[in-house]
Amino acid sequence: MENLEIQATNATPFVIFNSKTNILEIIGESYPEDAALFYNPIFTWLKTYLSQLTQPATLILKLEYINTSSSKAFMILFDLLQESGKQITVNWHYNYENEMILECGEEFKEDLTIPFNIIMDK
Amino acid sequence: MLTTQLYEFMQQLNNLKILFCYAGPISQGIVEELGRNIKDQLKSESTPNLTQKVFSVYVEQIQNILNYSTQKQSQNEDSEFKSGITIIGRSNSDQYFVMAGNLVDANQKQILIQLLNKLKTMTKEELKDYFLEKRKKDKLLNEKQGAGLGLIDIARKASEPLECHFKDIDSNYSFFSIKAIIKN
Repeated sequence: MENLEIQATNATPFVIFNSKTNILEIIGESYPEDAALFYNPIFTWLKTYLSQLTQPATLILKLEYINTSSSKAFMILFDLLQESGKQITVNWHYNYENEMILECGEEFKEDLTIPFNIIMDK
Repeated sequence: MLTTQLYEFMQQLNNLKILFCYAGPISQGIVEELGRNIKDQLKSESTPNLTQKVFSVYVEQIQNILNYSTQKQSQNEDSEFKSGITIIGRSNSDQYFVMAGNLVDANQKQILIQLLNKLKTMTKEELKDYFLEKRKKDKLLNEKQGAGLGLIDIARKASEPLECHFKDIDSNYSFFSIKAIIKN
């Protein structure tokens, strides 16, 4: 399966999903005008990937800011991971000064049953 | 407008403690460009947490205008519907206000009044539960239903209940104004 790579823009994050190493990364800010337009292709890729996945995988998130419609998109993304029943760990990174992203991670963690680590970056 | 009026106009903005004011057609490009400037300015004068909060309330408010306008575009080409006003002000060293205004139709007005009245009565904890519940509910991303989540989020970040006003323009349209006060 091809890797998924999307370059960052001002309002969308850098996405690099590697199907060989099973490391999936999303880095940056997310507040596009239309979250569906940006995230739907990511969901499509993930569905195929998850159906073929036999190894453990890690989703690494290093976000600076997400708006509410992106936060909705992340909820859908986490649901996809959770419902797949595959061995997936989420590593939610936050900058030590970014309380909003810390809180946002804690609220996702509350809502999910998959392993969800919250990691402070200096 | 006369050149002789410009100084007075600027003084008025200063007296109202306005740091940024944009009125006119709104696009995602404007959201990003103005947002970058707001962030740079706030970073230099306040804490990272306050900067983030003001920025996020600004984004939710202005994108509500943007999404509402997009929705209207197909039915009505009137450019007024794609326009709005957004304001960031600083009332004192650790308190900002973020305001936005745009035209809404009678139906939108009813939906907004219902939601805003509901939010007014809620505690921070209730707002959080309501946000999480609403975020979980729909399994599809639909931008046109996004306004609800955005307003709940604004209420969560505001340090006082949201102030709102509807100025009726005619039998169909009102000008909707919203103000969020953000403290550290």
